[in-house]
Amino acid sequence: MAAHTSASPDRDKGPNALSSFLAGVGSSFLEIAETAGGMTILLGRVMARTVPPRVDSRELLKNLYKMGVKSLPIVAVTALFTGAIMVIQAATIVKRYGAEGLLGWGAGFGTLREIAPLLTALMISGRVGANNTAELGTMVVTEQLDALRVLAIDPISFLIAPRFISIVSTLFMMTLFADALALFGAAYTGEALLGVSPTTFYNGLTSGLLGFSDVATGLVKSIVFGFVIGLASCHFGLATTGGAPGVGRAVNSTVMASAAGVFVLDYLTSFALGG
Amino acid sequence: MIQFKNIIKSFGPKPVLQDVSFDVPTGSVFFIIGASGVGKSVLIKHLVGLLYPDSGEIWLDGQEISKLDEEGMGPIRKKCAMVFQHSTLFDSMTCAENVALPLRKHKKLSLKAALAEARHRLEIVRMEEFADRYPPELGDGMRKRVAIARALTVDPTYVLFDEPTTSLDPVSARRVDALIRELSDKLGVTSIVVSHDLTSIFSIADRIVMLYRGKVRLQGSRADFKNTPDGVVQQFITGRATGPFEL
Amino acid sequence: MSNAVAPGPESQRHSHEPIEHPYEDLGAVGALGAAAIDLMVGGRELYSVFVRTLYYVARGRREKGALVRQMYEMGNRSVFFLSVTMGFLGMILVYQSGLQAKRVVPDFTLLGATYLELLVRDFAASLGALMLATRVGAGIAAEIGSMVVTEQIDALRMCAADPIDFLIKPRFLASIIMTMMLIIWSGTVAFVAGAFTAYFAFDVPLQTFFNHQLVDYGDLTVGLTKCVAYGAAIPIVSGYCGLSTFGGSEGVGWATTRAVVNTSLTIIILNFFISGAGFLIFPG
Repeated sequence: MAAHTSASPDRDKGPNALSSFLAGVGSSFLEIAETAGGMTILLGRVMARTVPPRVDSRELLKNLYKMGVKSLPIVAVTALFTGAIMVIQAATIVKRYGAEGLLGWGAGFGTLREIAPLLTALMISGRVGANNTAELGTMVVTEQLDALRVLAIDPISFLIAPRFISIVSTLFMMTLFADALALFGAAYTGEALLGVSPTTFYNGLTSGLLGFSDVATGLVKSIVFGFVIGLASCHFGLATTGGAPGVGRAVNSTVMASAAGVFVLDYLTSFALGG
Repeated sequence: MIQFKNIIKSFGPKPVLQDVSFDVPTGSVFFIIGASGVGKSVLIKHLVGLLYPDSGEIWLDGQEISKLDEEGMGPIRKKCAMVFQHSTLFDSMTCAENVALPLRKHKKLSLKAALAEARHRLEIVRMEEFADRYPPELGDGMRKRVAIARALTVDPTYVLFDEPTTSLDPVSARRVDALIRELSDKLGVTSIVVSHDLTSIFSIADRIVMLYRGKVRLQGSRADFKNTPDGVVQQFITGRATGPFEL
Repeated sequence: MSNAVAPGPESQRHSHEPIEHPYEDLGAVGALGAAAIDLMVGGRELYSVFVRTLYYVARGRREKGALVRQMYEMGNRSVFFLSVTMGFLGMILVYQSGLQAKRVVPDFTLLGATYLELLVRDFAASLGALMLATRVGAGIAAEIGSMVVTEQIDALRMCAADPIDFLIKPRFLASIIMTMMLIIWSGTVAFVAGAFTAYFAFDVPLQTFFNHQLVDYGDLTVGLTKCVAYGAAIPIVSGYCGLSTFGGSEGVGWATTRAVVNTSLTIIILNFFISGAGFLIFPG
């Protein structure tokens, strides 16, 4: 999504500001529609190359390794801190009702279903998604993508599909990893702050109020987020125009589209997977 | 043999090629010359399906190619290879891997076999000692030679060169010229060179076509160009600032 | 390569990962060590930028309208994006809380109140700031990064003007103010969206939902502290990433990426510390 068109220097608070705001909203909708359409088409082209599989395996492995290694430290730090924060927020409520035994469940529910997948997705969108767009965008503006086509090598099979699949896989595995680390961080913060032992915390987790379905919901979300981030990242990378500044703009667009898309799909998925 | 027939191409309101027609005889070193921005690169990109004409026909070895889709262009791209102006190697791969990539994809060689073949091909352009370096580490002239080696991996009958000597120092430029001439003499490749390097033009060209304001101004041999009475052509090939030539 | 962050020999090192070229094989331990060193040097340079920004807030030049212009830019750029994302966030949070409550004690009377408390104390500020980090942070890094690669930063320093005074200080002040305003706005959006979700999904009457009895001064203090802290962090971290752009024009893309990631991380870490302190000081 490009910058708002309503960035006029006219600062009157009057009909001018309102109509330019509305114009901005209108053009934003059109841009969003165009982006969504482009991403859907890309999805079709990528899927067409998974069955029968026409994906370059060397590129796939290379990207899986690169993305996994790149995101591990960030996800680890985020997950640990997030788990701790969840406990801190739940702590007020737990103390109010004296329900220390429920701390594991209280912190765990939100973390597994919601916060861990969401924050992992946001961090990976920034780390891996933006990076991927920058790489693809640079290849587009330096004509490397044209060079591939001229060598009669399909850029989607060789470049895009491996990266897309890697992003989805990375997000899934990192969410799993984040779930574990967040609960770990939460357990030890619970002890430090509230004196709730990790055993109590663990019992609260597995007490039967939380089930495998909660973990599964989070993981399904992570796959959906992976699709959004992967598509946005590849789409804006491929659509880069305008030389090196264009790459910067494409990265900007990816990060924003990923964030917005993740939120929208989070809601839709929560709703679809229900109670 | 390649034939351009009445090619018209505009970008939005801006007309670039306005009825361009000429033939490229097989086996020659053929130069397309003209001012910057006249449409030389645009024209050759039509031969590999990176651009499509608004109207006109392009015939390559008896096949009309201006309406082929991406898949249809596949076999054409194996006959007609292109060396880009900025060499356009893949920065994330070593030189050997760059050259090995088309070998793996088209000749189904294993990675090891492809790399070995790649090194052999780098020997031909005298770049084998840089096989394990990455493109950003090399100078322009060296990258150009690797790009040529990569283009040759599909065993093409035509090779397109987009301003091969433009950013090179004089010595590297003459080496590239020599390589292009060698391709034609030893391998029978038809080379189509887009250039405005006068030294290249008058040392290795067999035939030349000059584009001026979207149309063909003159076609012929080096002698034809040197001896033409056309003021516009003369100004260009002698490199004068004043005269009837308008950009 | 221009060294816009801090003059002097210590800043000759660029404290961030280079453009991806896999030919540097340091081995696992070497890579870890290199990362640790990078982190320390980066941390020190970041601190230097922060301190110098504060100095210029007090003693720097005053340019008419620069502050207002930056505020307008930031607000204009982000308000739509923030509203949409925080709206959806509100719906998600209430929906999930409702599901959670349904399993344990199906009493929704305090749903709105608890939600508002959490929103004020944490979620509005933290999640809103993460969104702003992507929008505003990326924008700042891209703008400043482009100036670095076109040598405008060098030109500034030739005129004896400190880029931190000129570029970062106005954005710093603007961000603190705008972040607070934007978060208050988006918190409201999230709350209202949550209210409608509670109504449509769980039949909670709107009057019951709009209940502020659980929000006390402690929550407000913690929430506002977060707004100020995040508002300060975003331009400092992304400005620093912008100033340390390298690698020519392509470097701007990498700088933007780094800005988003580092700013987000900073927000999460600040969140942890402020939340922790908040819990210890205001346990109610």
